[in-house]
Amino acid sequence: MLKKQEPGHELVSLPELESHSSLDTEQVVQPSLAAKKEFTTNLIGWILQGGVVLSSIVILIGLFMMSLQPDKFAPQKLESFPQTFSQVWIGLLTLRPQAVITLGLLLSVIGVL
Amino acid sequence: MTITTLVLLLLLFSIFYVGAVVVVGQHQSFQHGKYSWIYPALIFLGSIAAGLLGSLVGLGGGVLIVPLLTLVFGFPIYFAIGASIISVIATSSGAAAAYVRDHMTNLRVGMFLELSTTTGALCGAFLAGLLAQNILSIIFGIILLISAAPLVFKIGEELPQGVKNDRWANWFHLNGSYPDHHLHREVSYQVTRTPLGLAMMYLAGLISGLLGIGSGTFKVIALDEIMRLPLKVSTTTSNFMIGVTAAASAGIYFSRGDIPPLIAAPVALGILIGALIGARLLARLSNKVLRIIFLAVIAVAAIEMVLHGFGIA
Repeated sequence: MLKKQEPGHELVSLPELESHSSLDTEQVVQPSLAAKKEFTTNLIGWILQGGVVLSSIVILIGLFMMSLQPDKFAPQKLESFPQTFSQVWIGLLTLRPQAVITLGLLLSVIGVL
Repeated sequence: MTITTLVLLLLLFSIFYVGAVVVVGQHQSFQHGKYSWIYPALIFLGSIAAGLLGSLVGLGGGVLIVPLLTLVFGFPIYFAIGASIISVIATSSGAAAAYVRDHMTNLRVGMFLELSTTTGALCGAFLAGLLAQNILSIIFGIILLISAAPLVFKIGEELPQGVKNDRWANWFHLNGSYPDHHLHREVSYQVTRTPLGLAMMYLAGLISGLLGIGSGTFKVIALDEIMRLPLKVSTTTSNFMIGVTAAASAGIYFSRGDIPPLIAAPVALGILIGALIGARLLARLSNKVLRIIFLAVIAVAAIEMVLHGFGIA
């Protein structure tokens, strides 16, 4: 029995295809390719959306941590932030809000990759 | 698959190698500037508006963020550019996710052209560190004006006619189809003048890296005007691409200290919310109204930026 994979579903039987003995291989393979393309497209869409949601959550956590600090709006804070991956890592270990926000921003970049 | 791998290698090279060798802390201090609780709140609200307007015409919103931060809030342009790079990435990811799932985006065309765009973005990000603030402002304003001009002539067209695949489009299977809910049918389309489109995409990448915008206007022009894709496919594919292009130069801006979290965070969140609202509004508004609104916004922002560059604003 010929089988066809539909998008997001398991392999299903296609009895109607059996009656058409003249169907060539290409016609049978076509639905499989379409299903694969559909799956890949949906996967890319979900990865993009997941990256945005995750980075937004991390940024919000960082902003919340920042709001708990007494001198949170000092102009000096604008320039004293981690600028390398190692500085971000050290900042995360010491729970610095700016490092957490930067991690969220970097996650948004990684989401695109 | 090969093209995707090449683009990924370029992006990784940009973020983890090129970004690491750029000198850190080359800008003058901003400690004389002002900052209070009202700043992130207003930046957030302003970014929602920018994201809303930007997403309506598929540009991501970053094009409006730089004027907003420099002219309204008085931040140095390198901070504004760094924040806008992040906002472009977030907007692109958020809006593109919906467009990709709806099969509006031509991923094959997007990734193929990203080879050219990513290379341009790397070059642009290097050049940005060598140019003065006022020159960047003038360049940015002029580019905005140039970008807006083609939109005037595209108000009436629904679908491009008489387009045939060129040799490159046949080789790489760049043609495709998308479901058009306005026309109530699946629209098939072909792709032409691919080499010219690649050249235009390099320019778009260069501008993106230079000015911290997604340069969606240039991408839409390349896809719509040069390669003759349907407008909806052009804008959605451009939306997908602007984030990838911006990611290529993000590493350099990050290492240079141009992405201050206290500015970039409210911008990214605000732009994202605005873009999501804009994506929902898009279906209910006509293209003509949208383009008229955006043309007005772009014109005002461009003139302001040029004046600012000359020290008049």
